[in-house]
Amino acid sequence: MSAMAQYPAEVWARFRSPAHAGAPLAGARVGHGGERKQGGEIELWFTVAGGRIARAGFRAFGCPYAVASADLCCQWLIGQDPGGLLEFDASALMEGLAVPPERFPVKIWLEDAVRAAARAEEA
Amino acid sequence: MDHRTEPERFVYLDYAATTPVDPEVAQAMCGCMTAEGVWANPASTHGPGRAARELVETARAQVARAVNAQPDWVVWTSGATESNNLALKGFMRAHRKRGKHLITVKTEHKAVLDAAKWLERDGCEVTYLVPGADGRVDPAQVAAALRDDTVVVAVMLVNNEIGTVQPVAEIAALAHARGALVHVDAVQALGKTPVDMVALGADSLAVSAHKCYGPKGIGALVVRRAPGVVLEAQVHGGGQERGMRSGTLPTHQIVGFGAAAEKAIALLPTERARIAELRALLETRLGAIPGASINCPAAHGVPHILSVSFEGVHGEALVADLAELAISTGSACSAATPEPSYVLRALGRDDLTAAATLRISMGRGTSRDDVEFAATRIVAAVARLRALAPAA
Amino acid sequence: MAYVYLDHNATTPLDPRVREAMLPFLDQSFGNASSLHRAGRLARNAIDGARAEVAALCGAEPGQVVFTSGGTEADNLALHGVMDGVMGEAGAAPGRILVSAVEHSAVLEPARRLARRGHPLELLPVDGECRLDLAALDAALFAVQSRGPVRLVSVMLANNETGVVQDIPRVAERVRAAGALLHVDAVQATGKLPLDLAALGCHLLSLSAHKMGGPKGAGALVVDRAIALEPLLAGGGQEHGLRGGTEPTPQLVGFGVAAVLARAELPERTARLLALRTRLEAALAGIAGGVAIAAAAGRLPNTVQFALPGFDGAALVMALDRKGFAVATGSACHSGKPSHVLAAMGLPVAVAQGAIRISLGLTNTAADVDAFAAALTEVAANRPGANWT
Repeated sequence: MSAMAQYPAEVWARFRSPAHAGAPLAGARVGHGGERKQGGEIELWFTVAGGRIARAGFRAFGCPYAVASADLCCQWLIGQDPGGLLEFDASALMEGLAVPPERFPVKIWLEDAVRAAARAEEA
Repeated sequence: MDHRTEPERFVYLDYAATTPVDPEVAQAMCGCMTAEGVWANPASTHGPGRAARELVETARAQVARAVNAQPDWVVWTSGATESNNLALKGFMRAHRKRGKHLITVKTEHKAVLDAAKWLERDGCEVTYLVPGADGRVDPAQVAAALRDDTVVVAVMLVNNEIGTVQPVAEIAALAHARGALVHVDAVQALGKTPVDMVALGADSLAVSAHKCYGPKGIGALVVRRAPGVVLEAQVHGGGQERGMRSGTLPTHQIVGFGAAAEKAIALLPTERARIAELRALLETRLGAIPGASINCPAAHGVPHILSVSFEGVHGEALVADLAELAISTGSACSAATPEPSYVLRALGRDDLTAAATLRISMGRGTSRDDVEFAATRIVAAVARLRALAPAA
Repeated sequence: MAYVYLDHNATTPLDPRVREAMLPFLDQSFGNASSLHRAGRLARNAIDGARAEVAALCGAEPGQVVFTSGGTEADNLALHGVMDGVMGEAGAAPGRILVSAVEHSAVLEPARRLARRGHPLELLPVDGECRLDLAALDAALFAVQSRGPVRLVSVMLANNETGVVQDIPRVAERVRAAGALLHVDAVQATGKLPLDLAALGCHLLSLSAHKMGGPKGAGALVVDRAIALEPLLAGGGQEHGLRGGTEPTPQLVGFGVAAVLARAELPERTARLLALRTRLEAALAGIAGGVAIAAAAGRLPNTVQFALPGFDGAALVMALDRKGFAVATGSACHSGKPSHVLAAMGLPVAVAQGAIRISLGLTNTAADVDAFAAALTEVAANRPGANWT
């Protein structure tokens, strides 16, 4: 058993190889959640085309759960209507990744980042 | 939860947390673990008992020699935690009439700090000194803290988290001049740096087998036999160890400790030199990472323990990304509650930096290849995680 | 004939199956159980397994098992843990401690220190067969008006010298009725008698590994977590904060395996030992002038205490050693000192002085027993002063 055994398989895989990690593209709407001093920070961005999210990405300073949740979230965001994200709730996403309750702050950072991006003006 | 493949290579770099039992030591222990071997109770008066007693006394001499003490100074305990508890509680309780003041350092092992807290609840006053940024206590601080009613000054010889070597001899001289006793936790020191109890001026010295390739569950408190060095026992019963520590002596464990101590001293010069080279290699490669700081420079610590903090990296993510390495982020004993290291906090590091700190501790099994591999993995992990993070 | 070891109450040889289980944890799976990496987690799992096995040995929950470095530490933790916690309570009156007069010094000594710190200590008498005087227990327990409430009672399950087994369930009933806590030192009984926490009815139970083929230096205090215990060893937080210090994986793994084997093999072991003990007692009965101590009481299946009045027990031990037999006077811890157990039983001084303890083990045979009886008969025939008239 290694460190990977401490985290659920999907969390581990996304932490090690996050498909959606990257700096915001030109023209993306960017949102932030959390603060380093609090123990974690998520920057989440997406581009919109034809009223739907075309590309989504993130950067994260945080534990493997933070990285994995942000990555999964970006995957889910593709095709979503940004207008419906103003009250984005990450609960189902957290459950899907089996994020333990002690990691509650990750959920808050992610929600704050998505909602902020949804509210953001196009850059 | 489904577990994927194991990492191809797993490198152990956590020798400060614990060490494997040396094969020769295990062999010596086995001599007490078979039907034909020496397994009787060392307190029994019959032949088998006397044979066990002889082995115990041989081991006692081995441990004593390893720290330049007399055999009858050695009191067997169940390990470092018990030794530290016995010294602090034992001295403070025995010298109640003289005073209730204890001086120690914020960066001592939990066993010492928690015993100090216990003593505070018992009515003692404790002064906790704060060392400098590299973990060293300035003897002048001790001089300033000493009072006429100070009973004990407790200072560890080598810090388990960052490797700092304290100026124990100077501190002891100051303490003795004011009539105080000196307890030295030498648990990390044995086998890593010469430990000479007499030269150090220690009145008591705590040592543990499992940090020097001996078995877990056995240690010793080595107590100078001199008028004024009086200790109150903490575990009572059958009166073993001259009443200092009751309980059936575990012959196989003691034999293991004696053999381990003897070998550790024999290998010290060559091992230390070898590890010093490996450390230099590691320091060069890790020191080259931007935003990396070495917490205790080689000149002030033992080469075996290297503590490095990284800016702009999340601690848990860093350790997770280094799944192929067995390393620590803080003291292993404190890992029951995942909090930023109290040692690093005491040295003034902020929580984020403390959390993003790796303790790499090398030992007999560490090869150059291991160290190169670790350096490569760490460099890569830090780079990846920094790229993964939002702009600071 | 090869040397015959008949001192199993002092310690037992390590069961080969226990040794096999321990060895891998010395140099292969050697991680510190508190470490979060792989090596540490392997150790943690092994310790969790051992904890469950020790719990199963006495019908407890794993969470009730606090590993210690042995029986002595477990006893110290029980007594000081309960009573020092009491002292901590603001305005708490010192509580009385009742301890049987035949307890091991690992219970008596802590009790005496507690007495010096202000907790009145009363020794509970036993009869001539080493059995606790239940009427005296009641009188002591319920003398609250005159002597204050009792906080803690400690009565061992099986005495290490005489082998006598106390009726703990009845003791527990009385102690609970008085609102006090009961600690039972089961160090000598571990692996020799069936142990069930609920059936015994005690609150704290001390166990030891090395009397049942496990390693020396491993023990446990089994305790209800609801009981506030003041730890003896501060620092590190192990054992849920009750006992600091790196967990010695090989030691605990050994303890666990010894526990599993003891539980599985108890009926056969008991039958085998009892048969040998009966054989021994029959042979000793033929020694003129010999006294079988506590013969009528329920005892451990392996223990016989036998006296030759007019002889010196310690000298008998040495004489028998020279003849190739290891026995003891009483407690190994107290070789050479007069037995407080025999004194408490009110035995005549000559009997107490001339007593030896023969404690059989699983490797002993009928031939061993016969040879020993013959040797002792020979020694007994050379009574000191026999040639003086």
